[in-house]
Order: sequence, then structure tokens, then C-alpha cells
Amino acid sequence: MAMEEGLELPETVLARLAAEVDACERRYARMQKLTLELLAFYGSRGLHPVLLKGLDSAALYDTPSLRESGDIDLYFSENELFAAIPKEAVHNADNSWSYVFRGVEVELHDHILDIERPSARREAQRIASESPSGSVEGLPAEVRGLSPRMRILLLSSHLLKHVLGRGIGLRQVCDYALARAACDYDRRIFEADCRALGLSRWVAVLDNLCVRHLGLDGNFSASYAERERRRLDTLSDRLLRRLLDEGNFGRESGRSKGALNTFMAFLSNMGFSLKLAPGEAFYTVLSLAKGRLKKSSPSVKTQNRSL
Amino acid sequence: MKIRDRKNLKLRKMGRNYMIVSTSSSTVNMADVFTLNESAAYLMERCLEREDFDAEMLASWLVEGYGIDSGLALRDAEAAIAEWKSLGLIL
Repeated sequence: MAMEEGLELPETVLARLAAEVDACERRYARMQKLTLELLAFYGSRGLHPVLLKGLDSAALYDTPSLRESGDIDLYFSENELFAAIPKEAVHNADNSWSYVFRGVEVELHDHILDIERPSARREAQRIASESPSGSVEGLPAEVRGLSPRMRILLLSSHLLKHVLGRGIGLRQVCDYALARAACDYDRRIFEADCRALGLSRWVAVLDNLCVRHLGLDGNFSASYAERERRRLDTLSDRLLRRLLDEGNFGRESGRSKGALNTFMAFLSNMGFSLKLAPGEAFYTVLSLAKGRLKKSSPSVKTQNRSL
Repeated sequence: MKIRDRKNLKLRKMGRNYMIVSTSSSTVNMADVFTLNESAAYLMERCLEREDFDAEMLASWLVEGYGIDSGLALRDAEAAIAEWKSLGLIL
């Protein structure tokens, strides 16, 4: 594939692009090395983490080394998580634990799917128990990852979490689009899972965005009546504007973080969120509010254990 | 002689250009990008695959790939090596 005569980029731009690509590949190589070291460490202690997102998502791409990962996300089963948390780890509002390993942030999770609505959470647990983990392809060592079924559910629910709050990024949408277009999961089961988790409308909007704005082949998505399709078009157009403004490559990607800002972002997005996944929107804000109340209370949860 | 930091260098085709990115371990976030013409890229690709090389080896590749006179090939190979040395690409 090449640009038409007269449309080639100037050499100075190509040089910069070459440097960026090279740097990206080096970062990926380092992330891969660190991830494998961390997994080997946990393995040596008899623990069995499952790799979420990051390198697992990168494996969806033709050139995984060009898909950047900022941190390492690991899932541990309930009876292993306690042993996996180092003493310096910080407990987050979403019940995950964070610490820094060789300069890279690591997040330990006690659940795979970002679902807050209680009845949907029970469904999420049922689905997770039905779906054994898979393995991450293309790595120099055996790494436990997600099954295709869980991967696409995680990517869609995780994206929703960001849309409800802030920072939806093109990279996350591309991850979802690639997983969606893959043929390694049962689409009827995926649709049933989405209904059980209250994600059907959200996934319909996401699919609409991927087809209309990212050029994804629309064969996989359901067809809708004209009126519903126009409604989905409107919602995905609005989602596109958020995507262009926020996230990895957005115009406003440098906005300040912090728990209060995050909570306010969730509240300010409520109108749009209720159109996408009303149950999930409501319980997410409720969960965040509970998390903030817990943090501001005088009793402090301390972590005093070591690996 | 050999290419400096050979295992970390990658020859890339960017549009119609060939480029190599060399990062300095002493300066963070700094990189040198070298643009090569097609024949230089042809030679560099082979050099990157080997532990070491010399001018005669490069000349034989030029004869093999471009069918030029061996005397001309040797002069071109020596010129390429001299330039790469001046750019710090060769040890």
C-alpha cells in the first residue's frame, strides 16, 4: 500500500513517524518483558493470574507491538487475590488494588467485567464461570488470558465504564472493533450475554460507531428498523464527538484527574449515559458515591501484608 | 566491522524511503533517524543480519544485486562504509 504520486508525506514527517513507531515498539517490548516477569513471579508463588486488556488486546492486532499498553491489569480469583496484593498496594474505589512494578502501574482485580448493576453482576459471575480462560497469543511464554467470549464482554463493558465517566479513547474502541470482527466467539451467545448484562443498547451504539465511523464491516451487527437506526446514528455521532474530545488522542486528553473530578464527570454525563445503559449508569454513580463516602470516613483501611 | 547496536536497529520502509532509527542510551526520548536510498538500504539489510562485514562483502552484494562492475562496486561499498562510520552507525 502506498500513497499516490504527489501525496507522499515529506521526509521530515516520515522521519518523525519512524522514530515514533520505533519508540512504540520498544515500549511494547519492555511491557512484554515486565508482564512476563510479573506473571512468573506470581506463578512461583502458586498463584494463577489472568491477564486482562493490555497485551491480551494487543494480540488482536496484526502488529501487536504497535498497540501501546500503559499498565498491567491482572485478575485473581477470590481465594488468591489476598495473597497477590503487596503491602505497598493502594485500594481503589472500584475495589481494585494498584501498585507500581519497575515503573509500571499494576492493577489487581477481583472481577473481570465492569458491571455495577447487582442483578447484572450475578449474571456476569455466571458467565465468567461458564467461560474458562484462554491463552494470550503471540507471546514467548504461556500466559493465561480471557476466552473470546469474556474478552469481548470485557472490552464492551470497560468502554461503557469510560463513556459513563470520561476518557473514552480511540484505542479502546479499536480493541473492541477488532474483537467484534473476530470470528472466535458465538455471536448469538454474545447477544444473549448482552441482554443478561443490560448492555444491548450500548453495544448497538458501539457497533453503529464502529461501522459508520471506523469502517468496520457491518455484517456482524443486527439490523434495525429505520426509526431505531436513526436513534442509534444520533447516539453514535454523539459518542464520536466524545471520542474526538477525550481519551488517548483526544483534544482534551490532558484534563485533570482525581476522585472528585471523576465523580463529577460521571454526574455530568448522566443524561447521555441513561440513553446508553440506564441501569448501569445509575448503579455506577451510586457505587462511586459510596466509594467517596467510604474514603472520607474516619476509619481507614490499612494493608499490612507482604507476598 | 559491525553495525553499532545491531540487534536493536530495524530498517523500515516509510513510503518510498528507507529509514533506520537509532536511540541513544544517554539521552531519554532522543533518536537519530537515518534515511537511506534503495541501494544503501539493500546493503544495510544484509549488514544487519550479520555479526560483521567488510567492504569486499558489500561489493559482492552490489554486484549480485545490481550487476555492476566489481571495481565500481568496491568503490561504492567503501563510500557507504565511510559515510556510515561518520554517522556513528559502525563500530
